[in-house]
Amino acid sequence: MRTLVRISLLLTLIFTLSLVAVQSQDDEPVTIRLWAASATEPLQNAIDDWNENNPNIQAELVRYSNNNEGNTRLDTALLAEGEIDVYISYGLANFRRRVDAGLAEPLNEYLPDFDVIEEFGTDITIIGDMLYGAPGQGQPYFVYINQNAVEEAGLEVPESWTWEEFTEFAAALTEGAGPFDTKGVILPGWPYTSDLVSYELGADATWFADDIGCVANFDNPLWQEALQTRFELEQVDQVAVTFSDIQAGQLTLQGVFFNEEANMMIGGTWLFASLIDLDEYPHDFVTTFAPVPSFDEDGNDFRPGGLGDWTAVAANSNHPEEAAQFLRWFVTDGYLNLIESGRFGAWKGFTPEEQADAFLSAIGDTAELIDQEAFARVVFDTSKDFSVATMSEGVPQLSQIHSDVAQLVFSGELTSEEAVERLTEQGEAVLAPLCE
Amino acid sequence: MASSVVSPVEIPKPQTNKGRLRLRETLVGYMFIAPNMLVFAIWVLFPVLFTFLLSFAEWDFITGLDAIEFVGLENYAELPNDIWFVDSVKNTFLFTLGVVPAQIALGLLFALIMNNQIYVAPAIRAMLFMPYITSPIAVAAVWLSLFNPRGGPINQFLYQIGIQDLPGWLASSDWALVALIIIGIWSGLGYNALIFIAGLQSVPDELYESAEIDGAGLWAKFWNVTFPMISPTTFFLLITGVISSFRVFELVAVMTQGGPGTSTTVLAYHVYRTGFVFYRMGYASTIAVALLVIVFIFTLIQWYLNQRYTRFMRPD
Amino acid sequence: MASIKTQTIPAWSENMKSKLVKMTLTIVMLMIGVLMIIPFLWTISASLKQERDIFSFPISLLPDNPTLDAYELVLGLNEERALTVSMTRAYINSIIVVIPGVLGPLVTGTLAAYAFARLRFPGRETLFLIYLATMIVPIQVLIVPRFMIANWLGIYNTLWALIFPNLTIAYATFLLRQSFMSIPQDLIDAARIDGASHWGVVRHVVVPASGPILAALALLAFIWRWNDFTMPLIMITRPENYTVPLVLGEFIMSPYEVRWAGLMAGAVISTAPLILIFLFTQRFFVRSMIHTGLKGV
Repeated sequence: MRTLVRISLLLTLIFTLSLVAVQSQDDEPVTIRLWAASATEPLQNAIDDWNENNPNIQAELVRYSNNNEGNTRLDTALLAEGEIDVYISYGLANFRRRVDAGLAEPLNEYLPDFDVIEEFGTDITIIGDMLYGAPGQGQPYFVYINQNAVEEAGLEVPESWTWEEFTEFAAALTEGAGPFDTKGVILPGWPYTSDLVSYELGADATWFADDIGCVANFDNPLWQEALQTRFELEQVDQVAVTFSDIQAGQLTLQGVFFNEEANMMIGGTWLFASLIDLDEYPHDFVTTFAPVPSFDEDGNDFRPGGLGDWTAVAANSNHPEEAAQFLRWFVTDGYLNLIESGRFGAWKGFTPEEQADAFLSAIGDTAELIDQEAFARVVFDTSKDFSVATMSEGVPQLSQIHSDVAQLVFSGELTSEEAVERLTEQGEAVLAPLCE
Repeated sequence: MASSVVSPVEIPKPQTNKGRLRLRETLVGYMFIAPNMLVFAIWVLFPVLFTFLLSFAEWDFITGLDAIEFVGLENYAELPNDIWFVDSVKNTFLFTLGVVPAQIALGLLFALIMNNQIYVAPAIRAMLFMPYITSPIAVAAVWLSLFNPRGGPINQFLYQIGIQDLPGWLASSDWALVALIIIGIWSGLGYNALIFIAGLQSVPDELYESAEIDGAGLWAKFWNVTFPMISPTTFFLLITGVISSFRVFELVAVMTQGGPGTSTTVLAYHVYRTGFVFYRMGYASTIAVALLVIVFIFTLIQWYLNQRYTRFMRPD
Repeated sequence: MASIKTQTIPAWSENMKSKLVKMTLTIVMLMIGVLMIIPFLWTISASLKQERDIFSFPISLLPDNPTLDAYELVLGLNEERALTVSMTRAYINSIIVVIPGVLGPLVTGTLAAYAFARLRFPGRETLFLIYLATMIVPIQVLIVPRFMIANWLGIYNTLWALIFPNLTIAYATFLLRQSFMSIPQDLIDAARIDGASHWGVVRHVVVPASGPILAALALLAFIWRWNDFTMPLIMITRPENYTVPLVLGEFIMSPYEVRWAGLMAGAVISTAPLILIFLFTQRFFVRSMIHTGLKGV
């Protein structure tokens, strides 16, 4: 009896689906909405590309801001019927949370031959045997270096380095000790220390000492080392733009680096968009690249940066079939449109060489401002894998206490030792209510 | 509330003429508040009641209503152990203490000056009111530059007048809240002054004249005439000022995100972060209810004190 | 008008002295006034600058190479780089939302305030206290329930979702109630004896006597609705329904990236009507506070 019910249900489903499929062929084109938060133009190019080749499925871009309000807006819209068809989450935690809440449509049915493990090298989007999407982007972090400044200082950029060596190098690129002189380096506008730890420990072990997310890992000496490293760069050796100057002056990495107020910056590939935008960021120096420094001689254990642009089909979509097709195209071939803007793909179908070529040929003469040897070697160094987080509950809280404390360390109000003590204590406090 | 209000016990008896009038008045009263109450009930009262219910539950709002999990008083038990809650109560109190009295005192001072027939008064009034309508994000950007500890105009000025140990302002956990208080006073000043100007304009001239006949000086006139006459205005600004500074959110969200450390984490910001960053809407509601209780007690105390000392809320 | 007068000094000297005092006070207040408008001046200045010059040091209010690029971008006049949303459309939407957002609270608020202030009915005080208490709840926790209600009513993603909830404002009802309490009872009694209904009293006595406070509230409601950001951000996702602040939100890419020039040009365009309305109504507005200031509030 149960089998009969199941079969008839299945038949109904297939029937309905084929009806929908037939209808969508006959009727007006289906419109699907893509929610994304990265730069408009490359996304729009991808959408135009798709629309041209798929007259029956027209895609539309809705931009949201990847900040707290923007994510809330996406969350509520996902709850509403038929608002969103495809959406990109930034940060795996956001993606996982939405999948866990039932806001992503399983894709197995629509894309039976889509083998993400094979094509993306990760099974992280397969949850409970169901496939919920794929990462569009692979975003490595590395050091951008002003080649002209390096030559003037008579230095040579090493192929790998520790933070100690990096500090010396940055010191040689620092001109003057005042707050408005050229600094050796600018680090991201968030504490970034947890990222540094994760390059060594991997995403889960950065925050948690256990497997169930109830014991924080702030005891690990790397935490203190990371906090101390940024503190020393900024306040002791004074070779980096200080955290408080970044906050007070609304400084951005690209604004400072391309204006030659710092000769190096550490960041991801999103900065290429500024490198090639000579109207907003006029500069005439060549940029070269080096890997993110590590705490020990043998380099970071994981590739700095991470997978991104986690793309999923909304559970409340009225056109899941079409949305799934779009998704598959977007994270694979369609992503070429974004690669041309310097946002590199996670798909294994793109070889590093193809990606580099696509980008360099898309930017024309500006390619002369890029040290192409270092670009190919550093940016596309796939000898190590990105680490991937599988635990997310409690991470926002731990990350918050960390950024509360990190600010105090960077300004010298708290020593890194006191900071770690406080983190350990508070880590316990914020995890307690989640682990009862 | 007023002492002579009609209590529900006095529901009119319909059989008498007076009773019929009373019933009529009751009906008209309900009819008059009905449109207001309908909108209010749907968009304010219901969400507030829902929040109250949620304060006893664990819930990530994207999981849908079915996933609400009631946990009894657990959330309330968590409050005293919550590192951010304890600090944010302290910070919110300090912020309110810093902003509200200063805003009222300075607002009154400016109103007195402006009322004294200065030149170009309309233009100055408009200038004072500008912070109220300027884009908050522009306000934040400008104050960040002004407060820049190194090279910002404020510290340059302090340096010029010989202060050696310059404050770190928004970069320092000792000074960040002070900076926010300064901005808070700045942004509410024009609004307070404006309401005081109006209050002052309505004080009858005869009162000052008779005070002068009694030989009162400036201070005596202020203390015996102006101050009591405008106390209803002061009370209104006090109540709405306390409510809005306890709910301060935007200033923190755009300027400091609660930092450095927890030095500027205020209640409303903690509520927001708990609900939308930590995804604990249930516990966020608990904090909101706690805030409601704290402010409501304050409001009732103010109300009671005011009831005793002024003619505010005089029933008809 | 002057609340503090000095009449004991001989006339000529008083004249001189008061002029001097007046001049000094004017200068002091002008200086304070300048402090108040710096951020707005900066907004204008930033909107005329190149993106990279906005935070250059030292801070300057005069742009070196003023450009209207940002305005062209915001207004959709730049053919190469257009916004995906239209500022013109957003202006129309904002006006559609603001009109009921101003009239609604005035009408529903006047009726309710009259009832709260002048009518006797059971539960009056309790209802009013509930009303006040809800003013304290931080708006942040109301976002989700309001979204759910709008979604359930089927008005999510329509301008109705911005109109309906704003047909009353607790603050407005509170203020009007205080103001109505100060209208002399004799006036109302006289109208009642002449046979006027309560509705008649509201129309012919209360509203005419409260013109200024209603105008003041209208101005405040206009400012609030015009600048609303959080609720529209949640309620509206279709570009054709964007209001002005949502268009400005397009320039905030992430917590670490803001397109300042465009944002500031948008802010100037968005603030302009508010300034005009304030300038035109401020006399009315200021005078109106007499009622709230004296007896009522």
